[in-house]
Amino acid sequence: MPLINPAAPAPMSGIDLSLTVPATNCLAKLVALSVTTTVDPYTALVTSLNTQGIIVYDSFNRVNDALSLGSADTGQAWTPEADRGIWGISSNKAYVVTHGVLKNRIMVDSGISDGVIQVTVVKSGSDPKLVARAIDSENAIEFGYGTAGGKFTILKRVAGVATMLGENTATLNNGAIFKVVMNGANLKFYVDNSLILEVDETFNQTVTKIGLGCFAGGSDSSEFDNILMEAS
Amino acid sequence: MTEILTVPKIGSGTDDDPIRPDTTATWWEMVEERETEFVIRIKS
Repeated sequence: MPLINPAAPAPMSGIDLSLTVPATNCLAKLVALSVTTTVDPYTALVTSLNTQGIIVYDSFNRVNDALSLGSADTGQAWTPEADRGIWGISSNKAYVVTHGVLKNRIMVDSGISDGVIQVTVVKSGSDPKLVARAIDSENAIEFGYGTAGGKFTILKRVAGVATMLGENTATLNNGAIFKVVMNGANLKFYVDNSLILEVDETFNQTVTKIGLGCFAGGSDSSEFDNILMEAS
Repeated sequence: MTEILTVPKIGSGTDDDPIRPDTTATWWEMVEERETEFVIRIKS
């Protein structure tokens, strides 16, 4: 069910407003709002999500866009970097429209460094990743899947230099849910609620940007849906 | 059951060749990174 369109808020008064976050994960919540005074429903929605600890949420349910990923449902702007691909919306999912010179990445600032991040990998495409603890694409922790090698990995990238922190040979199915639990230095990587990898890593421990990544664009792109970050 | 091993580093640090432990284990996770080697945990 799509979230309220933040582009067209309208004052509402004396009504009950409810919405459902997709029930495909353990963090699914039914949010019921009672609005008794004049309030912007989008503001009420974000306030309610934040009250429950959900800092970032994006359903990607908006008009197709081949130039921009826009902003998350909770308001944070998706920020592209030069040469990191053109990201967009297709059929209410995020994907890479055009492959960048460098590996494709896009970030949003959650404002928190500890918590749970998850995203549905609707289509595995090419090397889908959840990125966290990111200053930028060159300095981050990446939780992903190497499509060619068939391995889930946790990778630390420092000034562009990649160091593998863990790997696990397994199959990624379309529609899998990547979940990352970050608690200080401890990082856990779950796929469909099964613990795949766990490492301790202090790099960028208090850094707050999260994001998405994949290797290819167009029809070879990975496709993502329903990203969220919840404070721990 | 897991086992702790110390193994050399391999790789150049590029995306296609990340710095990693020299192991053929199908599952491992980092315990500690040292200057020229990794301490890793593998399933045995």
